Amino acid sequence: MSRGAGDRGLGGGSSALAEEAFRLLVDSVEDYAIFLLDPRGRVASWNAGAARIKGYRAEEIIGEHLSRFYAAEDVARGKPDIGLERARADGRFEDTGWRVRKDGSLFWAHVVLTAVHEAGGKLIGFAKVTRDLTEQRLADEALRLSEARLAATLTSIGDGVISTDAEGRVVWMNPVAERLTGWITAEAIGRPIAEVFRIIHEETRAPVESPVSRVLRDGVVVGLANHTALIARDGTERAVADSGAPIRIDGGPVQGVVLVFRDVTEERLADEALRQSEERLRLLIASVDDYAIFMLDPTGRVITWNPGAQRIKGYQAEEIVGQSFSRFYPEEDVAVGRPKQVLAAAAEHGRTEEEAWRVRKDGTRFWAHVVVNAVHDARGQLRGFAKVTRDLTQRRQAEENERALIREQAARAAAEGAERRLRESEERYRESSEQLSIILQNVDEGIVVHGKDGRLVYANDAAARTWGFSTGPDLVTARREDIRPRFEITDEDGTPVPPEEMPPRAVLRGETPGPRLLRIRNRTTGGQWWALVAASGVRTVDGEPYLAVSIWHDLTNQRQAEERARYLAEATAVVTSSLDYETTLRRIADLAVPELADWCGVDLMQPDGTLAQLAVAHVDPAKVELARELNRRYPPDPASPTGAPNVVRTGKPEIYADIPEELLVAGARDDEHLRFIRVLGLRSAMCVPLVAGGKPVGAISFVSAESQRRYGASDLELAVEIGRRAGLAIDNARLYRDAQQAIRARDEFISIASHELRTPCTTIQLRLQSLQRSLERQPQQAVASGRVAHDVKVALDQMARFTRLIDQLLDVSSLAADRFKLEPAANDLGAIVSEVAARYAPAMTEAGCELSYQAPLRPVTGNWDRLRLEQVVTNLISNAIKYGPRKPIELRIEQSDGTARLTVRDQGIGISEHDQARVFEPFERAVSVRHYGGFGLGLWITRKIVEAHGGAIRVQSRPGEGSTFVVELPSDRDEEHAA
Amino acid sequence: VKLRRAVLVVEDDRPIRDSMVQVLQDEGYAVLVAIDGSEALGLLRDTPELPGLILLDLMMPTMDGFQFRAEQLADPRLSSIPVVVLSADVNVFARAETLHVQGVLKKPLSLDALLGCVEQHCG
Repeated sequence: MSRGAGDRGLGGGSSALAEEAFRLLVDSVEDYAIFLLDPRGRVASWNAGAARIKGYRAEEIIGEHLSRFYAAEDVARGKPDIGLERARADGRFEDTGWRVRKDGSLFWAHVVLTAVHEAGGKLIGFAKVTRDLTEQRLADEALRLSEARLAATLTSIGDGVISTDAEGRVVWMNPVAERLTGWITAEAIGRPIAEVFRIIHEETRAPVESPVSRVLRDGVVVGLANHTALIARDGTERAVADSGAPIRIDGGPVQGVVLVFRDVTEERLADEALRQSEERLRLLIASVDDYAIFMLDPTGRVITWNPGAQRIKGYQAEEIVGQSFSRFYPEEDVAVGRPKQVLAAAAEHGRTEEEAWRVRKDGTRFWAHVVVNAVHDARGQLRGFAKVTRDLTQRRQAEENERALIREQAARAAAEGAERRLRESEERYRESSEQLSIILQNVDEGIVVHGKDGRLVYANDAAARTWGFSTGPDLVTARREDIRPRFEITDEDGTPVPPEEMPPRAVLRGETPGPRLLRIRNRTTGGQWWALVAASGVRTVDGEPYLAVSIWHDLTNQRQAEERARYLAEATAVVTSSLDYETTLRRIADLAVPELADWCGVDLMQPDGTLAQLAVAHVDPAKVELARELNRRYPPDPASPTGAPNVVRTGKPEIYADIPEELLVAGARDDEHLRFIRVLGLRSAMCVPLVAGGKPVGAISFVSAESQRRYGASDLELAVEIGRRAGLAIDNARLYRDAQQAIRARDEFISIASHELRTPCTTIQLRLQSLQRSLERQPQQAVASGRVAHDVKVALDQMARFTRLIDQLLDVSSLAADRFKLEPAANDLGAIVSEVAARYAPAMTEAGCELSYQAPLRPVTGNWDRLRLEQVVTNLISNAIKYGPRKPIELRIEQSDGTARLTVRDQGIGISEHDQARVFEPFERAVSVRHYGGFGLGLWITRKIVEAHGGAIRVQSRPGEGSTFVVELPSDRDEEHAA
Repeated sequence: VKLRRAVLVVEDDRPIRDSMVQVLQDEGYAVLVAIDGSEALGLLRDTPELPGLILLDLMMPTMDGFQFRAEQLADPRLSSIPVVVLSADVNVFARAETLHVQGVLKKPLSLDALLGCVEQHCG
């Protein structure tokens, strides 16, 4: 475990023991993956939790990069590195998202990444704590959905529902329960159930044990009890049927009870009334003989018979009771199953009515008007059918019109009834929703409920806020035409979503739409948000949806983060796609439009300090031309206190969330300029520096106009990041250019080196081949020994030259690799210079150079590497000869204050001021390389040797007037020497 | 020994120059020398009898082989003297093409190639 994390857990200066304890603790944690990353994001430690959650063993994963834990598309978007960068910058980075296990499966992870620093502040890595939230996430989603459904269902059903805790105390009740008990939820909560739900035996008047206590005691579902009366808070008595069921989680102990009950008073009264009227009815029916009135059992067998039936159909009661009513139908109707259809239709709709041919006992047919009513008992159980048949054979035509009229009226009445019921249901819903809304107000998700006609009947505050209202009721009462035009609702891909495609509408049409991702843009402010909308329906008993409940889950933050990450990833890809940074910057400008801006411009600082517009992008090419024209006519003033010039000067970004008229007027040079700017319709703007090599070199401007988008802090953050990455393009291009130059210099050097190495080889080869030729021509005779001796000497001289070149190459390689070692000893500079000068005397004579030499009488001594100093003197003298033939050369040695100074002066071609800075660099030479022998490394090697001795070398020169090289070396002091 | 036409060697590296002079004299050629292009031009302009071949190094101080060749071609009296270029530069063949010379010898020089070439023009 890292020292950094250990310190944090156990206190500063913790002992090794504490550190060990901490390590054991981490290793044993299984619920959290806790591990360390090195500064580059590679896994450095691993614990049991990490092994369990991610599936890797320590030895498999240590040393791997953390992008292993990310899905390929996240890696492509640079997410792993973004996390590291954020942790590096902010100290901590927290994220929730999908991660990948070793087996490729995904899990929903909560990740905290903490930068770990040494005591000195140096970053030594990151501590990463990951928790697998997959199950929790799935469970949370399921729970939220089922709770919403349950609440909607329980508040809309016709039964009273009370739930209690394990002590039998009320925790929740629905509006029906409130009405029946006379208690409101707020007052009932926490009271014993027996107080709120007081029940007695209807006849004995003795208190009855509440189903709740029986459920709590026995842990089973308790069914309906008969003859139970509920005494409401105000003393009202109602006959109720009740039942209770235990609430358990996964078969565990009983956590509470759900009590469901309903008012059966009306059912009782209905039963009683029926009993009393049945007898009267029987007598009445028995006396009717204009109508056949009889009962069928549920299967269609005749149960009762009246005189009218007897008269119309011709059967006696004893003949027909117990027989199927299908015998009243003509054969062809029976063949197609008509009798059964009639009963089924009556059972379904409660009633059927038709006029059709019927058959009498004697086989003759008559035109009958038949009404079949389904008969249900108080419990709603189908008991049979009442059938009323009338012989219309003679009055058929006369009654036709009347019946049509009646039917029409009936239909209208039915429709009105249905509508009334629906209104009542909605009314009831509105009441109950007040209760529910208290709960729903505390939910982050926007929740709205639409009625059958599509009108909004409920909205919580969270929903209202997203549409620009402060409370749910404000939104509910607002006129739709005042809201809808202000917003543009589109799909993920920007396709507009019309109102009829919205999930609640689909639900109300009876469809079951899946959740839908929507983008909502405020046309006025330009602000936009994302929501995942899931809608489900509350249905009537016959399955007809009459309410649509929609949950709007705000995904704006995730979407924006994703969009930014995607945009950044694209920008990064663009940055690395080309080494021509001008192309890259143009593409970055193009990329910004229209996602981030309506306009994007890139300005680059020119060598003269002015800004040049490199790129400008706009979706509309005509506008691009306009912007270019503007820039041509009114180039930015480098001294401007705002905008790109200021951003480049200060390196600080600027943001104008709004661009007020005053700002436009202040920024305009003249009326023409102001008119120009106004045409652009600027709304909001940002300008960020383009930083390369640590310095601002330009600016990128993002401007919003047509889209009405208003920039905020997060937009600026993104823009700054783009500026930073775009700067990388410039850095990359420069590095590439430098690398190309280095490669060219290297190639050039190789070419020079091969040229130089071949030169001595040419002489050696010519000499040796010439000797060989002589031997071949006169095999019998000795070749003149003088000639042989001369040729061998020349060849050996060239071999020595060749060897010197090789040594120089080796020096280069050791200098470049910093493997350069001195072997210092006490040496006399005068002795070294004299020796080298003597060695070069013949060359100087040949070149026509006259040497003058000045040195103090006393030796000038120091602790120097003799061979290396010989090399320095050799290089300087041979350069003087090479570049100053036929001209005098001066050598001077001086000593003062512990410094020995060697001056070598020639009167040759000289070096321009510009080239003086380069001559001490490798592969640089003031004159065209190829015209003078050597590698062009001599002065560089000379400088390296002098500097390795703690000394310095400099040159004074003017073209055509010769050069003076001065070498200064630390030496023994004069007085030391004198002493 | 039959009379052979003179050869002009233009080469700044003294050991090479000396070696070439020696091997050519060994073969009976009269040899003229110049240490760079300007010396060669001066020599040619002063000489009544022109050499049969110029062996020309390209990389020389003061006036290099390219400049020399340009001056030579511009001078009607000198332009017809054949020139063979000597070079250690790996890319010399490509560069020599622009000089319209009669041949190229690559350094290190092979004695046979050198003598063969001189024989062809001055033998």
